[in-house]
Amino acid sequence: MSEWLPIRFLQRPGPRDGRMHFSIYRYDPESGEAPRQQEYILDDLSPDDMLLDALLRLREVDETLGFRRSCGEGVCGSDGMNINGRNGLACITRLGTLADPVVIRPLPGMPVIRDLIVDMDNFHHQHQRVEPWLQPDAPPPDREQAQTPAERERLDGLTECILCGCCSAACPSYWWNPERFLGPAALLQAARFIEDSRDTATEARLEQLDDAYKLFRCHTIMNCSEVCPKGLNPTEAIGRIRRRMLGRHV
Amino acid sequence: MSGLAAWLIQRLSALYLGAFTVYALIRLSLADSWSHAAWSDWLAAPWNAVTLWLAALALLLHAWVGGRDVLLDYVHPIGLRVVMLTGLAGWLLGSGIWFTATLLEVM
Repeated sequence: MSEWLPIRFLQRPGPRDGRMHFSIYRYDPESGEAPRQQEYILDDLSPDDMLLDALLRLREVDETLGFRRSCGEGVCGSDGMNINGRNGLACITRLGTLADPVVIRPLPGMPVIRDLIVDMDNFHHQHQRVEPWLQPDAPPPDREQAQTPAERERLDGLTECILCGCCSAACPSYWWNPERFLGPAALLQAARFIEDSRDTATEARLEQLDDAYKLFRCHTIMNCSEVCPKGLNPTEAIGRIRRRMLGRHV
Repeated sequence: MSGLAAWLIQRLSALYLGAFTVYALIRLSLADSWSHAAWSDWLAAPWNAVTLWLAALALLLHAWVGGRDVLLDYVHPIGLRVVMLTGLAGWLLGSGIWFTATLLEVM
């Protein structure tokens, strides 16, 4: 079996003769049993099938298998999970890119509710803490508030986040201090409003982030940028916030 | 010292230490003699002594921010953390005082 080969990464990825093996984390806290990896085999798979397709087929066989999914298009961010050691969205991960067997675990560092479903309350709480909404000091104009193309361009790479949690769940700093370090996803959102020309709370936002924990637990490990399924770069966004902080004092 | 200040000190001290290390390596490789007398002569020039003392200060500050970061990351029980931070600060401060005293003696 391929999982016994130490040179797993040298193998051609994807299904072989349509067959793939899956090892999926199973855990039901209410059962009192310890977590385990359950093995599954699927046939008639194509390298172009998405991992979510495979999971949906597995759930037809085993309806107790728990995972979140919604849009299936990489837009809603529901099906973040750890796939062969790397966080990603099952719905946009092609089987043809995955080594066999596919080892699937819940997003690391988040409490497991059941199987691949994690509790994201803390993640969303950290998002809230950056006050992710526009704070203009003038009342909103009657018409839309225009930005120049250059002003809008500053938000590119910041507005596309779908809050799937793959980045924060890949961040060791977030694992160690999830309550105090905001995590890459929330900090990307902080940068999004700091950079927005229509937001006038920039000073207060920068002031709020300037402590030992909220932003500065980031050690530029860059796992966040490495795993982001939308190709965003939270590390760079955090760097932009640091430069803005520096700009206040220089 | 937290947040941006600590981050900035870590970067600036790293820059100084990087530059000083290059300078020190060149100076050492070009030295005619590595004897105690030669070092005393070298340190007798105030510019050299100040450069070296600043390197020690940068090293201590850099070590404080780095050590503090490790403790903030990994040591969560507040009592243990305070003890370890105090220990680290005391050790670094003691090292600084010892180094300054030694430098003054040699000069």
